[in-house]
Amino acid sequence: MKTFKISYILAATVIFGLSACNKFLDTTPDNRATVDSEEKVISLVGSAYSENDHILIAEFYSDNVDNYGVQYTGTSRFFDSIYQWSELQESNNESTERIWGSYYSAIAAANQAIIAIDELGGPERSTAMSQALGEAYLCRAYSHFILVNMFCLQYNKKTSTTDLGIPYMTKPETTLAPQYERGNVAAVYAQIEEDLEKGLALVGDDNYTVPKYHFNKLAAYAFAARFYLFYEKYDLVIKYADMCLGSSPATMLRDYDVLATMPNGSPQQQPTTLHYVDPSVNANLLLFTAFSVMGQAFGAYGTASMYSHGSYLATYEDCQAAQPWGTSAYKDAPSVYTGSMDRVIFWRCPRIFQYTDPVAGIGYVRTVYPALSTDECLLNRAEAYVHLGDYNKACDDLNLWVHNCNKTKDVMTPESIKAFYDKVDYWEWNKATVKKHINPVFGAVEEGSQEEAMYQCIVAAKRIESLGLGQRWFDVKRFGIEIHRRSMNMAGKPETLTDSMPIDDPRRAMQLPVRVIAAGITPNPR
Amino acid sequence: MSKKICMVLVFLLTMAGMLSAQTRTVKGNVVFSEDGQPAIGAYVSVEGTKIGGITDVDGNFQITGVPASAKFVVVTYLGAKEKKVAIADVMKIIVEPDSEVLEGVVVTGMQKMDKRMFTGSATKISANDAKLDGMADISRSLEGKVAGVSVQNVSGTFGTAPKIRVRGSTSIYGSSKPLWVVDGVIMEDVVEVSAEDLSSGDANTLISSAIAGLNSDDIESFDILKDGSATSIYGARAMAGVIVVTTKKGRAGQNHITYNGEYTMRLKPMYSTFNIMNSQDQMGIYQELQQKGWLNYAHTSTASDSGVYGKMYQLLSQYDPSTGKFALANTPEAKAEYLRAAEYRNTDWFDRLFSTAIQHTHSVSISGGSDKTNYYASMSIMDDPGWTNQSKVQRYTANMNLTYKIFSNLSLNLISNASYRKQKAPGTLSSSINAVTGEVKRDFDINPYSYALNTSRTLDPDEFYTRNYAPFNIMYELDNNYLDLDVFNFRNQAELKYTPIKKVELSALASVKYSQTTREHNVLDNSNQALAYREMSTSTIRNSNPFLYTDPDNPYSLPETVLPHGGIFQRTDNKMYGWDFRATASYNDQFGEDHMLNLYGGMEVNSVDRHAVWFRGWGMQYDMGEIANYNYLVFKKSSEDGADYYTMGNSRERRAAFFGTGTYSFKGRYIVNGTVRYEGSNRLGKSRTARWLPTWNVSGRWNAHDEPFMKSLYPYVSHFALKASYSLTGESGPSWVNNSEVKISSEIPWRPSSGLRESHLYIASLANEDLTFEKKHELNIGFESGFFDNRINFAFDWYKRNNFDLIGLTNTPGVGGEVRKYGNIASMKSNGVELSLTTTNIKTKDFSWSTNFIYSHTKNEVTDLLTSQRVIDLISGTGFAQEGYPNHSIFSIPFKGLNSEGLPTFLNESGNVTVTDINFQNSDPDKLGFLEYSGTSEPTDVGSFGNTFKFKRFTLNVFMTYSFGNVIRLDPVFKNSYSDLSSMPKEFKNRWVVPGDENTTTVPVIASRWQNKKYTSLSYAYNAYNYSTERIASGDFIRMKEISLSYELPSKIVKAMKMNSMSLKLQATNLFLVYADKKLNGQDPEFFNTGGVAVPVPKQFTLTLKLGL
Repeated sequence: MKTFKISYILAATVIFGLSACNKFLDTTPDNRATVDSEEKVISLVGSAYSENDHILIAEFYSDNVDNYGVQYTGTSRFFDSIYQWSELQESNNESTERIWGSYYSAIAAANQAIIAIDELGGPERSTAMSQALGEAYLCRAYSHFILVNMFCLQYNKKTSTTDLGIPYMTKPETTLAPQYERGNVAAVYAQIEEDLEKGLALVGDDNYTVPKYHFNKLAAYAFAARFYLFYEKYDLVIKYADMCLGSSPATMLRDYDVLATMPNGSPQQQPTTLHYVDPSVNANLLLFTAFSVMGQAFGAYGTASMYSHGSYLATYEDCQAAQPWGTSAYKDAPSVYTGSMDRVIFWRCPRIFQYTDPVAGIGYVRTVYPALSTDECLLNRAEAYVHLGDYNKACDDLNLWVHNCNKTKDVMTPESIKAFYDKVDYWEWNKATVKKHINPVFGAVEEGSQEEAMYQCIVAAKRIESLGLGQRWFDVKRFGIEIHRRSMNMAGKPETLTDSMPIDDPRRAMQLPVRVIAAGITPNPR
Repeated sequence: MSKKICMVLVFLLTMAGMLSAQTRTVKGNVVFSEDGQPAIGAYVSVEGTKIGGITDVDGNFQITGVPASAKFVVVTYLGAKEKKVAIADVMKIIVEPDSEVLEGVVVTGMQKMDKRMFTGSATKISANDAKLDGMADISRSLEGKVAGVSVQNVSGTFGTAPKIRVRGSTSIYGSSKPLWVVDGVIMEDVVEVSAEDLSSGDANTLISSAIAGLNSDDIESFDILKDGSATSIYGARAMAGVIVVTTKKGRAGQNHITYNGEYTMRLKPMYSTFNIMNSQDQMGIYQELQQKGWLNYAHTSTASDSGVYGKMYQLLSQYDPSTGKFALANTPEAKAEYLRAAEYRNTDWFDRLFSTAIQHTHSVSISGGSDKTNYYASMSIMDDPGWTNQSKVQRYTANMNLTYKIFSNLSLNLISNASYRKQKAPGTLSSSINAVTGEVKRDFDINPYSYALNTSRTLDPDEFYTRNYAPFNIMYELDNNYLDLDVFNFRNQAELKYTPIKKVELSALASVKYSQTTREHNVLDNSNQALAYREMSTSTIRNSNPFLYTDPDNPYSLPETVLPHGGIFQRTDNKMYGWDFRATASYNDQFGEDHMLNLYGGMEVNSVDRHAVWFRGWGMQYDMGEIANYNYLVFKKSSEDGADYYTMGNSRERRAAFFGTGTYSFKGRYIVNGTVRYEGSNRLGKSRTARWLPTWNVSGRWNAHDEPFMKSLYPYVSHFALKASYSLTGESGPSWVNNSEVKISSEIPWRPSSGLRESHLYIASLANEDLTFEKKHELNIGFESGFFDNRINFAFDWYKRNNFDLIGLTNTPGVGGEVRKYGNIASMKSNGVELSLTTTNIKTKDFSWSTNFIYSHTKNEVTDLLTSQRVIDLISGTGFAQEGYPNHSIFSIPFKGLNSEGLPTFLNESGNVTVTDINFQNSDPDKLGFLEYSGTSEPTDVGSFGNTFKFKRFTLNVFMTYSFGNVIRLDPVFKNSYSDLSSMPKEFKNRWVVPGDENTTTVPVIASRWQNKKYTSLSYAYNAYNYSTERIASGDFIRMKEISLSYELPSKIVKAMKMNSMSLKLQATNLFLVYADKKLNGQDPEFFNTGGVAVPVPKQFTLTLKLGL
């Protein structure tokens, strides 16, 4: 009887002791933050932007580079493998592993913020909370959008329901290494659309002290325009592009008149590039910082001098070639480098060195790039008009774009565009022209038609607009452009064709990072 | 009164018994002579029979059925001399403690256990035996004293912790540090310093020793708990073993005052023991450098670092208008004379930078007691003027230990301990490793030891040369660039013991601990480090000095200084406040004659709060009234770099545990023991499931010597016991892996200009709900034996450990946002043997000779570790873990000989032989195979061999330690370019000079300027050489650790001086290496020459005076 009592008392003590202890042990071990206020939520969403860019790889994957190895030897194993479209074995700040990790990390921050907002009472709590939620949804949508376009085949109505997608993360990961299914591209697009619409409904500019580094309203519309263009919902492209560009789009475009007056010559590259990514420039809608050498690889540095957007490409295919709008009279003239490399490039993203150890010269090479701009948005709208058959409106936008960045006063019409392309031969690897065969994923286009000429013009404008910004790779995928790897000779002319990527090449979906595959994610077929 | 009645009753009853039978019952009580405390569990046997009994908790025994013919009982008790006593009906037996035999009590920090009942593997060592005089930090003296414990003095600077391993490492990323328990309370480090960082030489190693504040004279004994059975009472903190320190207490009836003084003289290191070139040979090398295009006027006169040549060029252009002459005439004769002076200079840097000044320690203690009170109080002062410049230490300690018996069943013990330490050290910054080229560097390093080893002997020690473009002289710099360290430790504890009924003891212990350390790094106005920030005397220097700042907002701006005035003041504060509370109950009972039961259980809670502040102040004008005269540019620059202005951090540790242990003994021969502990920690986050860990052990012991059949072997086999245990213990892993819930931190993301800055919260670590403790299963089997009346004692242990759930890096799908994550994915297994042999070879009245041999072997292997490390991590420092290899394995780049130009060639990951195509950052597991396994950096076989000779009042002790099985990376002395500051080891004499030499030598050429142009990344080649198979040495050594002679003055003389005792001891410590790899060229195999604050343990002589009043 007595022992019974004692054990009873003992048990009670232990239970009480345990629960008291649990409270005692709830003390946080360090200065980690608990996201329990509106201010903290807003601050957390601020980290839902990737700090590792996909642009360098995308640009190197596209047809914007040739191999100048016989003359110039600046390269590394990283550049070699991305130029050769081979699987990346090495990890650096711009490798596929970082892209994968960093965009998913941005998604994790968005998801964590969404949970925190929910715990704080949801978007109904205040405008600040609903706008923060909007930003979080947009960040989540944007990161998934980049990932699906980098690591999967292009969205299209025919095969996307079976093409491998990427895991769509709507909750933070809470275990060490859970397994995921990749789903399909169509499903990922559907989920992006859902998040995007939720984000568009809530987004606002009130929370931001540095709005251009966040999904502000205009950036959200520009993103929507790009997304729906890829998603083949062209009415919506026009709707959101209109909202982004407003009633007088000309005032929203890049200030090429200013850029034209910026100092020229090597040491002055820095001020010019810094101006290109200045948040006060209307054209810059959303700026990302990145651990990136793109300021070197697409600038006056010997980095990757083996692979360049060289004079041959420039002269025959894009920024120095004759185009429907005339020849190369760009206000911000492309810089031409000879001697230590054969490179023709617009100064765009800066190369900034962040010292962690000034004595050893150790630190990070950084850049800032416009992830979304009004110029791109304008061209997206022009493309949407072409899809809808409204060639005149498309021409209006194209003219607007041309007259902003080019000194020409000529006005293009659907007829003049067709006339121009009728006279141009199709591109061959050693006889390059501005016209490559297109086999768009959104539907066959008859060669020689008015429609094809319009698309050709759009693609040409976009290639110039996005030179050094990686967008060309996505147009290569969307428009079904076969691309090639050429080795140039001592004269800088195509010598040999080393590889080709036909439109059905599985490498159009970049292979997932080695470690990710090792951890059990289904790789892309090869 | 009642006692007397009782006695009478007992007497009557006994009488009755005698009348009724031929046998009788014997009762009695066994106590120690020293303090009158009962001897628990002593075996009392009737001589000539198998009859016997064991004493209970009060020392009482009762033996029935004693034949009337029996005349004596024999009392055997481990730790006491065997005693034969004539039988009486009621006996009071007093036993003498026997220090010759292993001491009888194991202190686990919570419990005191009779060694005969103890089933675990533990070693007790008295402080007298362990103590190395002249070594103020007692943790160093454990080297070689205990089987299974390895102590590596990676740095000898006071306050730095030696690398201590109990049975080898237990974790891959964790510290593998044993737990220190002082008087029952766990000692917490004020900062967590990882295993690798211990040998880094960084300033925070100065506060890495948890017990540097303990006066070694206050320590009574150490108990090193090794296997899981011994440590399981500490459960989830004890994976790496426990070292229990017991401090001295007063004893009843013995009032003492003692003085202990130690005077230590340390030898200066000598160039003759190292393989460094003299200045003549060195100048020969410089001439070769000059021929190869180096050391020319254009580069050297404005080089960032330069020595005699740079100085010569500067003097050539230094015009004195008053005399109309240049400081050095530009004539071949004048230059030759200048250089010849350097050739004969042979500066002895060791002599200039080291001192033989006497370090002295004085400690006074008072102890004593009565029935009611025991007291011990002491104070000590340690004053070290410094072995090297700027390494003064003063330490003051005070200690008090009081026990008061409030009632016969209630006692209170109070312990209070305080220490303060003031220390100076050469100013140092943290070292960093350039993963690209593989170079380890520390800016502005002025460590005297590494300076003496690495600086050319051609320099004039009183002259200023150039470093970081600014004037530099080591003596001046040490006076103007130093660390001030203040360390305060305080501990108060109280323990109440209550015995409500005889068999039950309740105890409650509470303690508080506080320590505060302040580190001030003073870079004075005119120190080289401050001047480097404003050195722009020529336009060349202005453009190349990396410490100058160029305003990015103005593309046309010139570099300018951010520190126009004053020096740099840096302060780091670390505070630790902790408290512990423990309540326990113990129950001891004896059923019948043969059954003894001991139960012990309780709960404890611990709390530790740490607080750290770092601050850097620019422009402190030390010379101008200590006022801060800063430039705003310094803030602009820091803001643009994203650098910290100041930092602050708090961490909190909370633990709660419930534990219980039970021991049952049958006839004193068969003992089984079991322990469980249920521990919770807040380190693993808020998850209420992950935070708790149950740990346990089961163990047994067989005291075979008490078996009747063994009695016949006595005294040939005087002692034999077998024991075995199996246990689970744990550890919460590295402190930075604490993400059982999502860890959100704040950051200031980088932006191209400071106007765009905002602060963010970000996910520093995703949640890992499955995060759990690192764990270890351990099987231990061992025996202890004594032969020839314990003249020979031999103990042996074998163990096998299985460490699992260790923290490792793993690949994940990355979809959560982290491709690589830390989790419980790794495992490691280890096994080893330990033996100790103590023999008394000769024992006569006046002379005795005893020998002590200790050996332990441990071997571990990482069995699971899903990911691999970068090449640089595997080849440098203490190496790293790789699946299938021991923990801390060092790998080497395979050296493939010199090429026809004298440049080193290597095998690279593609299987090609190359000069420069080595990628130090490669971490692809498939491409690490080219690295050659060189060995582990942790010794596998360690121990000691000691001999003690006693002749009358003299004692001579010769003690050697040894360590085998590890490899050491040789100092990285090879570079693609050298300056006129470089000092070179003599192996440069065998370097490649002319084609054809590649067939006879492996020492690469001194690369010419032309070769550096031809191979643009030649630094890769020379760093690869530093980390190649050529630059690895065996770490095996045998060290003459101690030779000491002590003399105890005869009591007649002492009494005449009105004293109780007096002794003198002369001790030589660390005298020489009996054996070490020749490749080390005098480098201490234990020591990591990493610069900063690290210096090796010196060779020293200590005179100790002990007075008892």
